[in-house]
Amino acid sequence: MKSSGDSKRWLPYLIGVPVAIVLAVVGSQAIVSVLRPHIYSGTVIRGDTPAPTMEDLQFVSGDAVDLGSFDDSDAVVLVFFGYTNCPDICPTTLSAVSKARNQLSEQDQERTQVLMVSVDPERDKPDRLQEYVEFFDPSFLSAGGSEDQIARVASLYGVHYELGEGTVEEGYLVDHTATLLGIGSDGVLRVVWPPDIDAAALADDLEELLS
Amino acid sequence: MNKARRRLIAGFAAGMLLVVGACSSETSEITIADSWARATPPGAESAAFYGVVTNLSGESDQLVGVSSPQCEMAQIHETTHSDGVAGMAPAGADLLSLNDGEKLTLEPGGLHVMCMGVSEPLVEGADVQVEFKFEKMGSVEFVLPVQAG
Repeated sequence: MKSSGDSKRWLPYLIGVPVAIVLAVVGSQAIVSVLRPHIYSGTVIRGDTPAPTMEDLQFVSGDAVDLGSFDDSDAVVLVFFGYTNCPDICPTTLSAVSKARNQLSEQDQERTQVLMVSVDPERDKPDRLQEYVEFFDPSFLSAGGSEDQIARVASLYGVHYELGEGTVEEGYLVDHTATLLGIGSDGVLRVVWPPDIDAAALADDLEELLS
Repeated sequence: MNKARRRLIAGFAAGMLLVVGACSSETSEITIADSWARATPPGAESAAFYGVVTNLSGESDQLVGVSSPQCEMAQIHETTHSDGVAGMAPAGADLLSLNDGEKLTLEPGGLHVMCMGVSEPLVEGADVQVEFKFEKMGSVEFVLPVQAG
């Protein structure tokens, strides 16, 4: 009799303590996951200096490239400097960007604009450049300009490039900054990703930027 | 009896041919795995081929050249990164020297076969032929599937 009375007294604790522990663990994990800051795979740029504009450059459609025009709709603009005769790193980056964009919700996809700027205007005529980027994703845009215009815009973005030796007929290589630049909805350069960024990691960063 | 013996000899000879054939295909001694060629975007005049080349010849060897009927010129190139600036240059001989059992990894963003002057666009699902020339092993041919990036 005595022992059964004891067990009845302990019963609330036997049930209540484990339940409380489980609730505490689950609850704290939920709080941590909500509060934990997103860790970007790219390099986060601090400060609110607006990204340089690309007013001089032209979209293939002929419209001026004004990154400010994307501000209206809470977008992220991903800018990549490259050239179409780049067989390794440019396709690697552009296909990762396409895969990352496809991993986003439809709404976020519409808010993610990819823009490739050619550092090889001599060979990359506007039609050819646009055809090239659309091979990776029909939504991608391209921009070109004269050699002077591209040199100016590249220097504004801290992009370096150097044409190798050789004529158009012989072919030549171009060394270039191959990072991917992420410009936020406020027109501020937010994140810089390395050229070999993983598509899933980039998608996570984009989701965070768009949230 | 005579006919039977002739048949026996013919059968033996055919068997030997099969054995020799099987051996020659299995002991090519330079192998390639995970190989692929990147489909070329419209207008692109160059392409890149990838794969893991392994030297199973039993001795060290040197990759001295690469060619493909699909390329005007092909070279092993290395993509280099320095402060975010990507460049490409023909790979140095030290990178192309393979001890017995050693692998040469050709992958996006690193070493790759740089195919210059692509004769016609490389379309996903098609094949490209590539020939690696080794100092001791001579020419080794492979067929690579064309894949989208």
